Amino acid sequence: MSPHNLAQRALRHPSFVLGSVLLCLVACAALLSLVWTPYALNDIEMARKLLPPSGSHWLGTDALGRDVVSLLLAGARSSILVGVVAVGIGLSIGVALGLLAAAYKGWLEEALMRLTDFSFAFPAILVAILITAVLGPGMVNAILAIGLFNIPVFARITRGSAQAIWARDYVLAARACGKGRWRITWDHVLPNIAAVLIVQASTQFALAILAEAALSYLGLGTQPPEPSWGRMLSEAQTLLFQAPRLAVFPGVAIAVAVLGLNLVGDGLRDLLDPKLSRQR
Amino acid sequence: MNKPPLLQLKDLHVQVRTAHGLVAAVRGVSFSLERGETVGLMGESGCGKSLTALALMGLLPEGAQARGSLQWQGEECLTWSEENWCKLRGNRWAMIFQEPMTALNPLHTVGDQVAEPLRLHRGLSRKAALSEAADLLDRVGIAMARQRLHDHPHQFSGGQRQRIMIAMALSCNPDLLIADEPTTALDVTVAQRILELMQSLVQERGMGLLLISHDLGVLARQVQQLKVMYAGQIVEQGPTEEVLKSPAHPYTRGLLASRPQWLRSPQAASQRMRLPTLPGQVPELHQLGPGCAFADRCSLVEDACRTSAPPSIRLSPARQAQCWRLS
Repeated sequence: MSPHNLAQRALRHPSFVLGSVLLCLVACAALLSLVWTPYALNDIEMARKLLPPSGSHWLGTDALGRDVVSLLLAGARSSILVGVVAVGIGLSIGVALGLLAAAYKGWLEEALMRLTDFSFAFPAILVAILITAVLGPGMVNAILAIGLFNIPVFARITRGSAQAIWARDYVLAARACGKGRWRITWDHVLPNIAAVLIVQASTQFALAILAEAALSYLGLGTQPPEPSWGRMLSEAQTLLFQAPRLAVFPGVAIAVAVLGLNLVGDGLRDLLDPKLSRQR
Repeated sequence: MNKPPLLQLKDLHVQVRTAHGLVAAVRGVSFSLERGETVGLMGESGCGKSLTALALMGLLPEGAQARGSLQWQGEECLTWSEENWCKLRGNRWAMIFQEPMTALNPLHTVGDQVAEPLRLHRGLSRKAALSEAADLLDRVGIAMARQRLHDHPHQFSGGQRQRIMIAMALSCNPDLLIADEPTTALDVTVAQRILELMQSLVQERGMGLLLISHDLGVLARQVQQLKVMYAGQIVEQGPTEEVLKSPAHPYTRGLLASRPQWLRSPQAASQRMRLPTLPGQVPELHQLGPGCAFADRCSLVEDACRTSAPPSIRLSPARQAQCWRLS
């Protein structure tokens, strides 16, 4: 599968292209907010509160008179940060544990997998609430809680797909060539499950953004004045009948990011399937 | 003092965990193999050929245990640690598998896969190993080997992939090559060329070859020594020609009789003769009684066959068979 070939097929994959465009939008918003926002984020001005969309405030202002466009742009930043770090934690630790379990089997595998079963027994949001309740609310702790929940998800999917690779003939052939467990894991198992992991990562990224929004909505995530789509939603709740647009805009932003990630994940699954790339 | 043989198996047993508990799948296999010698292991599916081969490589599947003695140049290997095995596999011993279509990793280039044992065992750099890999691929008959190093397995045909597997197995110039049904998945003309290639490489390099097959035709032409396996035991062994000319064990006789004869006598073909078959099936390993495993299918069965295991009878200095009728 040459890179050239892969890029060509990616451009012909409609859902991958649409997803990439949506994700680019979110990423650009986050980058833009680093250098420029229409108004300062802490620019609170009660005189212009709850303004409807107009030429000077494109999407209006919120209950404290802050510019909604500025908040949305900056909120993209927190969402991406949460997604990247939380998925990073889950991916690095979870994949390592899963590979270890598949390579060594025996009691180590049993212990690791029972541990993941144990952690799945608790609803994710409850665990997150528990962690933020113990460590205190805030973005860092929210990220930690979401990341922690990602570990067993990745551990399990890694172990399952790695086991399937270990049963392949080419692994037996590699062992017959004198390769040890680590080399086989590195050379054969990991590359062959990478596609599954990338797809899972895109799903988990979307879930992490939703989880951050949920935690912020509950007041356990990002704290004021740090902007967050989830908190914008929770603040809009009380004004749902006076200014429903305050809930709609961050809601649409979350939907765009999650939809983009899901479409890209879906596309990647097709693009990275070695069987489909055989069509030359 | 005599030099110990390259490979010596003594009373090798392999037990496999199944739904019926531990089952003996290989029951007391003994033979030895010298450098430059070709030995064929033959039998029906499920008679323990492949398990014997995997035990020889220390690659038994999970839940299977080997017992007995397996010596390499006089050194006992069954008790070896995984690291010891890793040093030997692909280096001094190599193995070719039945399914060339799945035995290569689809994600890596063919060149890297053939070069891998060289880098692993001889510590060559990637560049040097790749250059040697090109020579190997050329030697096994891959056209334009140097240009094709960077191709992936799916760009090769089945026969070519088996050649690539052979190149991989031979990369470190092993002393022993174990080939587990190397041509079963290939069509007849390709299979013939692969076998000829293996034969010439064995002669050229003076390796020992253990060829496993259920195909009498293949073994008859390829090996000097033939071992016939049934239900986990070697029931008859000897020089290939002698075994094929005058089979002693009823199982070997049955197998030889069930070969199509129409090539030799056109009359038989015109008479639409039915092929003789061996009645019954290979016994379930967990239901084996104390007697001969072949008793239920044997036309010459006696009372003794069912009550106690048959002795190993030496028919000539080089030939043995396990049967009560021969004593």
